[in-house]
Amino acid sequence: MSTITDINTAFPIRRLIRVGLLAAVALLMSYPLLWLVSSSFKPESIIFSDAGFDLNHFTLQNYIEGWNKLGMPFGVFMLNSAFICLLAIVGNLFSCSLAAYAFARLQFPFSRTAFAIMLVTLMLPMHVTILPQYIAFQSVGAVNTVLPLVLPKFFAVDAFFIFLLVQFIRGIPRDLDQAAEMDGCNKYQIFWYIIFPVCRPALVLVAIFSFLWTWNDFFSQLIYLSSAENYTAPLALNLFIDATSGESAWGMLFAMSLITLLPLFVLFMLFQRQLAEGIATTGLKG
Amino acid sequence: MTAISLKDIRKSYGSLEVISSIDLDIERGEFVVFVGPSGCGKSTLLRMIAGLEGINSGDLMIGDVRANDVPPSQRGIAMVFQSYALYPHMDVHDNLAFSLKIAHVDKAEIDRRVRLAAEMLQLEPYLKRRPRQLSGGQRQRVAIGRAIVREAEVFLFDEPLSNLDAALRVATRIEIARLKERLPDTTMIYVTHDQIEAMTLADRIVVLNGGRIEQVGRPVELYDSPRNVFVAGFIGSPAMNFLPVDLVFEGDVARIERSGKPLALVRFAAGGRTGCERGTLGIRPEHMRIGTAEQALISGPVDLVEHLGEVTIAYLRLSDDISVTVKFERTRDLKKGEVLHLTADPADLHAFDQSGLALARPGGVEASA
Ligand SMILES: Nc1ncnc2c1ncn2[C@@H]1O[C@H](COP(=O)(O)OP(=O)(O)OP(=O)(O)O)[C@@H](O)[C@H]1O
Ligand SMILES: [Mg+2]
Repeated sequence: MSTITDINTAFPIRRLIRVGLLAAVALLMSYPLLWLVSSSFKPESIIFSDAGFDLNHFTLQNYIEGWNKLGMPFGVFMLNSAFICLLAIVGNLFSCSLAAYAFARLQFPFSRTAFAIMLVTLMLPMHVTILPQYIAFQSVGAVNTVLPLVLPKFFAVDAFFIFLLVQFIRGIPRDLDQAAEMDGCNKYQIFWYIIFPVCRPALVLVAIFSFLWTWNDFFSQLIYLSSAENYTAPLALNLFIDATSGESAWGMLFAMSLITLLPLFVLFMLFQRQLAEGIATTGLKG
Repeated sequence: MTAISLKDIRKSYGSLEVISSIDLDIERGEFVVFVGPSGCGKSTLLRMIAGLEGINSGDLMIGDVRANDVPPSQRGIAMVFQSYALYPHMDVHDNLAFSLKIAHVDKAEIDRRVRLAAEMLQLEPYLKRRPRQLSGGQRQRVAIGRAIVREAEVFLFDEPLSNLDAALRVATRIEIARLKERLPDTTMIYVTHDQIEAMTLADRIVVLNGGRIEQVGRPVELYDSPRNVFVAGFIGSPAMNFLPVDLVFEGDVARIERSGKPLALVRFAAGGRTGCERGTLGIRPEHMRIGTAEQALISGPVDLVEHLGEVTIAYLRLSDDISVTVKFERTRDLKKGEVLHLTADPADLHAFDQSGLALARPGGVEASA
């Protein structure tokens, strides 16, 4: 530590260069986002001609118009997204932790093989399964409902979460299970009263990532949802781009994009600490 | 009345037999301690009684019921884990109440029992704390409290004090002794490495080795008349000294010779055997006295001296490359290299035959020749 400070005080120029370089890279990386923010407050006409941020042209017009542009308030799409996210989170929390508990603690025939197969599905590209899945859901008439998007979450299809939780549960001392067994718990009670609550740091992680991945999902929502009133926020954003006429409403698109980002931002603020903690303690003792 | 009875109990992991043919009866209200070297199967045996480990063959009787296949929670047994195994997400009250909650005991009764246990263990100020906010000793008490709350007939302890520091260990040991006094009808089985815990707490000690029972008896009995070399070496600290000797069996009595020289005053019962065989003479460090060169059982130079204040321990190196430990009361001035001549009361000597079994005590000790 002290040697670093020494160098810094001994060579102020060097330090200046370093900080300047880091700032430049940071700016470069965040430029698209900054551009998005500034553009959303500019009149449509100057978005592509005027790259800087000009307070004289500041306007909220994009937000006001964009909110109602698509025939219904943009909030409806946000709520659609939120509903799907909520179900996905609940589904993942329970199904993945139950599956993980089984892999980590129960002895059943071919458990090792099953675990290996589960891990292999981690590497399976989504595009391989999407077609058969679509056909299956179509045959039961579930297309254009939320079912194809949330039902699988209740059957522990997210191998990554299962893997994460298995590692976490393996770190929980087995004495805890056995103490609960002596206290009269059956396997389900051990899971519900002991393992599930002790897994909380890992479950926070699962919930947050479920939310992120579902909220930001575009592809599968595009495939399964076809009527506008079922659209989620990402699909609604896509409506602002009109590829055929070339008359896309860029300003409104940027404004609504920012609104769509807002929940993620708030979530990150709220759970920043738990996120870091969850990642740090995963696999360690509860 | 017999509380627990093990009949020809066996356990193997694959082809490895870790418990081989254990027979043991434990009386109601008895405090039984399992001791033995690491890996001898103490924990396994305890966990088999608890029901956490399956039994391959034999009968486990709890009361009059064969309990081999009874689930752990229905055996009327509570267990205190070495790691305490407190539920980290529950406060002390909930930890204590958990088993009752699972059993759907009504709330007033839960409260009564939790309060009683908390009072017994001085846990009242901590009822609202999580385990991680407790000291090691307090956690230990919560773990014991969980057993008390269940009002189980049998308590099992697996090395409950091994995670505590020396001072706390003594204090908690005394607390466990008090707890036993308060619960005279509760049978307790206690696993430990610690000799002092075993000697002080036990009504009976079971010495295990390699999955077998070497000897069962009251603490003093094991100390005074160990049945074989293993028990003799295991019970007592510092451990008993062993010297290779020749046993001369003469029908009724056995004489002992060392390097061809008879040890005049020492006699054991030969049990009708005749002939000669290699054997072992055992003398506890605390039973040796300094004597004259003519009387000496053992003579040798002092190699190392340890002054503990209360006692002085000297290590002698004998000519035939055997080390002998001697324990003297109080402080004694001994110099390295000084030759000591040691004797012992014949009644304090132990002899073991070739197979390691103890010879019976001499009927009467002959006067010095
Ligand atoms: N699940 C298992 N699979 C295979 N062998 C096992 C298993 N559990 C225990 N053993 C073996 O059984 C033997 C007895 O183990 P146990 O834990 O009962 O010993 P212990 O007397 O309690 O030892 P310690 O004093 O070190 O706690 C050991 O040799 C151990 O290696
Ligand atoms: Mg053990």
